[in-house]
Amino acid sequence: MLFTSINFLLFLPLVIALYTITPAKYKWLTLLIISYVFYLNIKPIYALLTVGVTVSTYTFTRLMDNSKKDSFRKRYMMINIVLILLPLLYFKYFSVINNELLIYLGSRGFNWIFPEMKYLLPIGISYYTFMCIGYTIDVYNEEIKAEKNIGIVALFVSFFPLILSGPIERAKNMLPQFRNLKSINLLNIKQGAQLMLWGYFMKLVVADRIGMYVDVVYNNLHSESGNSILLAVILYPFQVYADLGGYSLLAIGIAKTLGIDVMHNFKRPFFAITVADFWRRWHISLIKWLTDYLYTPLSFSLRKLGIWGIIIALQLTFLISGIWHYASLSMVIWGVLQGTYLSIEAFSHKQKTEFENKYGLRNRKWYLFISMLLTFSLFAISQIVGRTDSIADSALVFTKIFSPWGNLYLDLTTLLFSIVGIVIVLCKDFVEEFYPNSIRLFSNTNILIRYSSYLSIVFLIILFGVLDGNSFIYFQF
Amino acid sequence: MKFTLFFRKVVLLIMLFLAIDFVISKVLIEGLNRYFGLNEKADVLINGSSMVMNGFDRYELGKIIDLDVASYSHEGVSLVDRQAMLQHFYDNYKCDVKTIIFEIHPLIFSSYIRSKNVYTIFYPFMDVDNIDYYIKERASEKEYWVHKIIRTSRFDSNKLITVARGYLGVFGSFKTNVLDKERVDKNLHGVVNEIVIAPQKQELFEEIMQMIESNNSRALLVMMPMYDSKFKTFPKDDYKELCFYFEDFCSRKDGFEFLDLNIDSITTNAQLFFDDVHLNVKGQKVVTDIVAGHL
Amino acid sequence: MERSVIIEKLSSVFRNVFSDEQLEIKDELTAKDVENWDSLSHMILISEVENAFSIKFKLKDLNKMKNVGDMINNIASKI
Repeated sequence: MLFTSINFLLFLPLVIALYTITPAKYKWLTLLIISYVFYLNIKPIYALLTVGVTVSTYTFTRLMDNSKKDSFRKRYMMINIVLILLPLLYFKYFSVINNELLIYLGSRGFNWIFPEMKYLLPIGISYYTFMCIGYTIDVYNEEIKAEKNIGIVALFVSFFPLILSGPIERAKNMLPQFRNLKSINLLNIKQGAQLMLWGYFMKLVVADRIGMYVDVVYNNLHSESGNSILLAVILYPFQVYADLGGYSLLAIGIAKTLGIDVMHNFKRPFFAITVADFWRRWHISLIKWLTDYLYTPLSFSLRKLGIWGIIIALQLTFLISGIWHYASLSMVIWGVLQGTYLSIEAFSHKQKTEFENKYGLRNRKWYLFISMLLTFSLFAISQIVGRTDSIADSALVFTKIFSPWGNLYLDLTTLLFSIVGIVIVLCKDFVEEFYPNSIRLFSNTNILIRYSSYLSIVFLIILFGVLDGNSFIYFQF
Repeated sequence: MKFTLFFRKVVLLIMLFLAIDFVISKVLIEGLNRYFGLNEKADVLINGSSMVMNGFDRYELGKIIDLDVASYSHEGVSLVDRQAMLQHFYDNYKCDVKTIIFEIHPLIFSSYIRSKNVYTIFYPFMDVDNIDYYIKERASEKEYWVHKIIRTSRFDSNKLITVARGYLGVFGSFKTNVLDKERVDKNLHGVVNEIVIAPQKQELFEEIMQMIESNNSRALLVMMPMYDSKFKTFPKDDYKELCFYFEDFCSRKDGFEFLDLNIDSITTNAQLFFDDVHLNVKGQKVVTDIVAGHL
Repeated sequence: MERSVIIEKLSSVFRNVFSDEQLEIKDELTAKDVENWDSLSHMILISEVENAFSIKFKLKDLNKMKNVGDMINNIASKI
């Protein structure tokens, strides 16, 4: 069930109640059962996969720990990584490539050996696969000891707040917490609820509302005019931030109510002053994972190539990041774009720093502001490729923006609500970025301010949130 | 933090929530009433769907005939919804409404369902008995109870805009565009629409007229105009038959009148239409003037 | 090689890589404390340190070095 459904709002208190009455020794078991119930409710058959990944990871990490020889340990690590990557590669990439080949060869009159493969991606596979690979590598590097209790490993793989859309957590952070689950702490529930409240606001009031405008424009690229498309391009990054950021906050908040601390996934990304800075603030868990397990080893082995080593590593890392999202040529281009941005920054880093120091630019507000706008623009441009279905559509977007404009698609209600939502989110981020601890609403000491803030956000969600999914549609004769 | 203290805080928050929820919903309902013109006594009530919403500026009409005109209409409503609306009106707004301007169009008796979830437009009025029952019949249990308990959830963004319009007194049409004559003519070329008369719908209509009569009101049944190309898609004979039915019906009722606005001077004038079935600002003025003359 | 000598030599590498003549290194120093020290410049630093001391780091070493103090100890163990 989605976190934003009424069912979940009824499910969570039940979970907390069950967790509370379970004795400490078995709290992990309660969470495991609940997580599997949660997962089975979505698509039962794919639970077999999570079980398989759990067993494989458990087996090979234990084997690694019980072995002294490095060559054996390396072998165990590689085997597990390959084993658990196989389902991901198959469901996510092989079927896509297979179907593309089928169409391509078919149009040329050839038969392809495999039939069309229509699969829904097993829920969470991109997330738990990466989490387990990370765990496996950490055990190999002796950063953490292999977990002896297979149930704890199973919980790590299937933990319900994280399984749908992350954040992609680390064994080092999660396993110790799962081993020592504490009893319910009312402060945790309060803090968790606060995070969830803001998460609901971002997702329901901001993200889904902006989506109502952006979807219409992107679904009608051929008939919409350049100005509408440009507006959609500018709005889209905010939609993604509010959507993924909001959902991440929900995941983190839910975990928090159970007393479990999960890493943050976003850190006020639109205040980034360079693309490198941006990627330290956006989808942090994914980028950290890629940095630690892909970029670092890669750039390390290429370090003799100096700046070129860095650039190759960057390109490859972001290429993988692109296709991690989904398997398409567009995402490849997306990844290459990010890599290119970062490479250019890496190249020009020294000169830029010297220039900035010479004129004290880093202290000038207008310089920082322009840097933020530039970074945002670069990201918005790359998101065009991410939002459209095909390269042709991406090209169409650019063509239309730079051709003469017609009438602006003016859905005033949606635009008004979207912009107000964006302003609220940006204000909160602004205060957090530059004046942390000065203006507090949710954590204010004054109970009146606290309660007013909670209730205001709740009513904003009820009144302005996109709640029923299907809007009132009617047909004229 | 002790559990009892926490529990008390939660209860306090819930009670505050319900209280503010109640107040906000009342303020919002008032806005809706102002938009429809139901906040004060009405002498004339317009009822229909988007055709009359675009076809009449109730405020301007009121100025011309020097009476208070309300318009309780909504896009996508069919006869059964309108019956609920009129019931709601008569049960709640104790006023001597003299005339109901009742929208008619060629497909009024068809059984075609125009919207799956039109009942959602009535949520704000859930406090009214007949509306409550009407929604309960159609909504799922979960939906019904959520909206029943959390009053502000009865409103969505569209309704909020309507509330704003109610408070700001913005009643007129914003549709200044004129339809694309060439494109519409081309699209409708060769199209034929059936005029279906489902007996249950006819019965329902007569029930509604009965309700109006028993409340001592008159009815002006107005066949709202549509653009010529669209009008011509309906078989002439069937249309004549439909009009005859209404004329005949009205002749047997005291104070009931039928007015057919599908006259050449309106239908052939593309400048008056926003699309093939809706009037724009210009057309609204023309129709308002004509109907004012009849009252 | 004495620790103080290592520190001196390391300081000049740091100053060069991060373009900061004033940079002083101490044991507790981490990437957070130095401007421009991020994952992009980290490998360049590593490479330069290897050149300066004619040593080779292993990837495992990298993960174990949490601050400059660890780095100094690691270098000392290799010389």
